[in-house]
Amino acid sequence: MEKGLDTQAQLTSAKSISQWVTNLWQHVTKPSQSLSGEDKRQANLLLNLLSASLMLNLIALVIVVTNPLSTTEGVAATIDTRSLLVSFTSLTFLVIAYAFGRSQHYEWGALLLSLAPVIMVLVGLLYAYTSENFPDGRLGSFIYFINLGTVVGSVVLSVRRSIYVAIGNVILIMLLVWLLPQWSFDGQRDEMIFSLIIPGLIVASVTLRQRYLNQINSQIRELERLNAAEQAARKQAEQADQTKSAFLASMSHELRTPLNAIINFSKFLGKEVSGPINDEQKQLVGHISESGQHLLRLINDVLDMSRIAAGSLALYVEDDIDLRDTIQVAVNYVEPSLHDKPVTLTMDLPTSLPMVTGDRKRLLQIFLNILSNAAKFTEEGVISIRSKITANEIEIAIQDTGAGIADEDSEHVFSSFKQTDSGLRQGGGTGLGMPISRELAEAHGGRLWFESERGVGTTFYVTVPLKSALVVEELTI
Amino acid sequence: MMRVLYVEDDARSRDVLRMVARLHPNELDVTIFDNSTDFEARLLALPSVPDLILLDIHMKPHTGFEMLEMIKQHDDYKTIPVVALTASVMSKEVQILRRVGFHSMLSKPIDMDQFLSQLQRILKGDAIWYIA
Repeated sequence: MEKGLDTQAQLTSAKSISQWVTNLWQHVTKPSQSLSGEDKRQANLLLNLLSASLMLNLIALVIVVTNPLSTTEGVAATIDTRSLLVSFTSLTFLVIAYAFGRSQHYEWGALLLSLAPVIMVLVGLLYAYTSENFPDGRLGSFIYFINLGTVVGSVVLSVRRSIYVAIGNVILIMLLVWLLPQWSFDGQRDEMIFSLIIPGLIVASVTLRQRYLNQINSQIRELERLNAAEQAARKQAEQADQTKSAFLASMSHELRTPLNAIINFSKFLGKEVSGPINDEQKQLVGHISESGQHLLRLINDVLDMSRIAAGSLALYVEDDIDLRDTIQVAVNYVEPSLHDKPVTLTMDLPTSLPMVTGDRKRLLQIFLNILSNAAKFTEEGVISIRSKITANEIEIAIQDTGAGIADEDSEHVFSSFKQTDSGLRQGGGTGLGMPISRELAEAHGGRLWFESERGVGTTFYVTVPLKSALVVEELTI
Repeated sequence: MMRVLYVEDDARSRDVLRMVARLHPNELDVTIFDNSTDFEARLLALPSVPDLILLDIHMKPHTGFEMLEMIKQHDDYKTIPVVALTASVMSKEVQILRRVGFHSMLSKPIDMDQFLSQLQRILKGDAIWYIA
């Protein structure tokens, strides 16, 4: 048990140490705040390189100063002066380059870093020259070292500057060969030529890489631009949507307040509480009230449609709704409009329809829409309401003996603001009733469709699931 | 006799409620404040505690929400059902009414024929959120 805990503690401390090191590294290689984009990436790359070099150099310095090999036989116990000199020189260069790397002039840091190997070689050579113990034929190896500067410069600096560094380094090599002929190349002519070619190859490959990177970068920038444009467009659309919602809310509010007076004042006059009125006046105030109700329905339909479009139509779901009751309410609403036509309305529903789950008001809205359409378009005959119960849903069919829906109109029945020609002739309605009803049926997990034949009639079908899968919403409407 | 307090700044809406009261002279006794100035003091100064309070929402200086809060601060009044009578019927607005503690909501335009029975149902304890 204890051992397990121990391992756990070790793991945790190892984790926190690695976390600490990661944090430190991130802090150390963080570019100047004023840089951005490609500059920031370049500076970060440079700082990574510099930090790593600094770390290695510090380790090298520690090794040189402590001289752990001194106890070994045959190795001098004194500090190696030349190594110390080279170490200090390179450390100084690296610290200055690092300071530049952290600033916004990070490229100067890169330049210094690319020159550092050259300087180190020169220092080494100078020391060797003065102490006269520089081994012959070693220049070729140093030239490789000089080339390292070209590589660093090419990777971190821009393409053009890396070429300058390469040319500078080549000139330096040639100067060395010319100035120090006694140290050059005993039989290493090939090596020398090879050394001169290498910077060129490096620059060429880095140039190609840079070109490829530039291409990718420009593609990334293009993508970023497109992305930004898309986001701006979306934001604009959202704003427009909000403006629309705000407009609808205030329109609804501003229209409802006067409608309260129009509908109810005229109703009150019709009740003759404030004194008798004649038949014509009674009819007129009745029309005022009905027109007010009609206007209210229009407002509600427009609001419903916008809620559907915005996906914000919420159902106030109750359990145990008796569709028979709901349909009966709809029938009671519609029946008076059939009194002056030879149309009979029959309701043939079993007294014990299974209960459904749904929004009582919205279900009523569906049947009211279908029934008032049937009543409007049926001049004579029968409107019948039947039901069919399957394993998981109730299907209500409302059949009329109206004119039927022409084929060319049938596709418009469920489109917003489109009324069929005959519908327009009949007048009234927003053309929103059926699209809204279908959305409502689908929101309940049901369906709404119709079958129609010209001259014979139309049957609308609504299905409502027996046990709705809908989650109970918190809110009405 | 049901004693109803109605706070409403729109003159026509007040007229509508007076008409409802005239339709039911023996069942409905409506007191009307035509603004919300000093609402709290005027509420406490009423000769009797109302059975039900109807509040318009968009009012000055106190909104329906503020008046609801004032009502709820008095032990004698906080059990009275407070009903929002408003023309703002968008889901968000209704949601806020429910959240802040309105007992029920009746939308404008009101249904003159159903209005008394709706109030009676509210008094019996039914929460009604009716949008015409």
